Amino acid sequence: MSVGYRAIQWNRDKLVYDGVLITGIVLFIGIFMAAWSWINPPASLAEWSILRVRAFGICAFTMLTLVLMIGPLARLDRRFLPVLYNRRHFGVATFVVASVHAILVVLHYRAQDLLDFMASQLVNFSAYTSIATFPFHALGIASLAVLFLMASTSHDYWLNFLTPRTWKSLHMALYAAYGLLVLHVALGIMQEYRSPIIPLLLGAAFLSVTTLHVVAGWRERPADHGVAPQNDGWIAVGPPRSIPDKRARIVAVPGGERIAVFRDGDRIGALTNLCAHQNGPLGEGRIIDGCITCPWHGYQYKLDDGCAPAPFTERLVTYRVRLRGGVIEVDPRPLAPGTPAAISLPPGTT
Amino acid sequence: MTRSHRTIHLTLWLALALAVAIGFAAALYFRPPVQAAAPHATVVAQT
Ligand code: FES
Repeated sequence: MSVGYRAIQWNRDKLVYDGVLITGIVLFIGIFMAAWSWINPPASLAEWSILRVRAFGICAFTMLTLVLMIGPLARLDRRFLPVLYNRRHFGVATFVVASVHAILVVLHYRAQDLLDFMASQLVNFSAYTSIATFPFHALGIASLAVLFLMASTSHDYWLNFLTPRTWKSLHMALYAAYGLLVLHVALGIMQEYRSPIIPLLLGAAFLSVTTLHVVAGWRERPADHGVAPQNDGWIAVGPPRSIPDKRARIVAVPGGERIAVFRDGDRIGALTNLCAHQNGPLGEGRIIDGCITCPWHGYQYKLDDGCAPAPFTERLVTYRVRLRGGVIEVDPRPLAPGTPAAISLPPGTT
Repeated sequence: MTRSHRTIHLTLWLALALAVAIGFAAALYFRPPVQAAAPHATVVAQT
């Protein structure tokens, strides 16, 4: 954990992030409603109510699309890392906007005296067999339920309680929520309006998100094949100069996890590439203020032993390193978390 | 991300892309003509 990080409390970066987020939501909904009502002025209270429903629905869909783009974009291009920093607030805000959309739908149907009809459609199982009658609200409700689960377990309390590995796996359900949402729109408003704009925008959004995830995942596949160890089991990393100062080179054990080999001047240390917080890619971080700093949310660890600086208590697995024949080598057998293992290079090596 | 997490992640996206693409294509292909749309579907689709 970073020295300056205070759990639970707010910091300036989070406030700025949230300020931009809230402003963006208000502007999106405001501009959408103003533009739509200007092009197509609502003639009744019911039409205003429908416009409100749509504004929040489209905003929630856009937000979820953006939330899902942040991860792969940050993996493909480091310039997106600042957006990743507080992505959880973006996700929770998406749930809030989607909930308002759902509440407005219920209020609209109640005002139209159609609430019972809507409920009966949800349990009319024969309606599910046809595209024309498919109760698309069911897909929206299922998607909202997943968003609720994600938002309610987004806090670090749940992250610690469930462990980063389980928490990460659980939060992959967000992808399913997105798929449900795309179908909610495809079987809902897309059936009503023949304009090609809806399928075009919907298809483009889903295709963009999918492409980004698949490309980012595919690009990392070769790195997972790993480097074959030498006879004594050690893995060659490269000459000390091949590791940029205050940065790392990442090596993978065949069939195993990645190891981040950092250089800080003439000090070399190897740690697991998995940050203790959310399994972020530590080896893509930098050494700041003498500590290895995770690129995702800034947790920090000492190069020498993988321990977070006091008063924090996170400890990472470390690995033995050595310099042999001008090449840095790492022993892929992990040491106990927090074991000092960094070495100093002889003068003139770097 | 752990290695297994990366593998699951990629597999999941490929499967999701396929499933949603099929659903989306079916929704597009079977869109009822406006005048032939079932009355209740039209009302429900208003939102
Ligand atoms: S600080 Fe959050 S994953 Fe590393």
